[in-house]
Amino acid sequence: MIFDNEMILRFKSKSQNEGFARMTAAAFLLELDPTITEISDIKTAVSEAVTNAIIHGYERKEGMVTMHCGYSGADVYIEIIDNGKGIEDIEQAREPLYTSKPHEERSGLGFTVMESFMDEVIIESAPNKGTKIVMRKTLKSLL
Amino acid sequence: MSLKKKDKEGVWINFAYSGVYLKYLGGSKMDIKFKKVKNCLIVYPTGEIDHHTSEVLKKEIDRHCESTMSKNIIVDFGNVNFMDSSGIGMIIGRYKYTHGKGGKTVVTGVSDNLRKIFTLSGLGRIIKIYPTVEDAVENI
Repeated sequence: MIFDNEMILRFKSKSQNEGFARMTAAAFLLELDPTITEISDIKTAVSEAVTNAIIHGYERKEGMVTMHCGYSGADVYIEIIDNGKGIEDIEQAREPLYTSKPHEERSGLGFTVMESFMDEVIIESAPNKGTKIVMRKTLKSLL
Repeated sequence: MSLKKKDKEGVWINFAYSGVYLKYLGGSKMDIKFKKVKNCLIVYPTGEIDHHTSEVLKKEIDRHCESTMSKNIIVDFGNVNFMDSSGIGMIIGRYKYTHGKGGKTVVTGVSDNLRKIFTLSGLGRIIKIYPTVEDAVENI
């Protein structure tokens, strides 16, 4: 896909980078002049995807997370990629309130939030092959 | 519990030292203040609640709840400008904690930008949301 503009960020799977990733995505998209609600939705979705990579993909072990952001017209695309353990059952992971870590006070809403706050969420994953989340949101304020 | 400061509504607990201050590269931060009124521990987080900051928030709330022997927890979101689903998990965890001791966890000051995630989570079905801390203290 050819974007009007794009950027790639690579960072360690440390929880303090969750804030860094969503702020960077928001800063990159500011050029498009999105509404506060649109930017807040995108920040939340990025936060969920990066948190998943850190907690579930790498299970808090060290690894690298890649965030690829791009936009074409009013369509914003964000990919969050990890090389962690991958997801065995993607349909189960998408279910609201499902968590593979019930003892850790996780709400199990990660994918539900991503799907509600973005227009499209594609999950590509296989055990031991890592996970790639592709999210798209159309900034309706630009249409 | 080394530093206490009284005002007309209650006691600020560990006012200077419990202000956990986290700062990361993106410039976001969170600090927490606690206050005890009647049998309620009132928690005032400021900043952003995500997986990183909620871990600290959980520990600090539980620690203060125990040390002040509080039955109920009131979390005020008036100064929280970002929250993801980790914050929902944190609240559900505190709900279970107080529920196990015969108390309640309620929330206040939920702004429009947090309302979406609160609504999505269905948290309102098990946890009461009051407009202000005063309403919560009175009706809990």
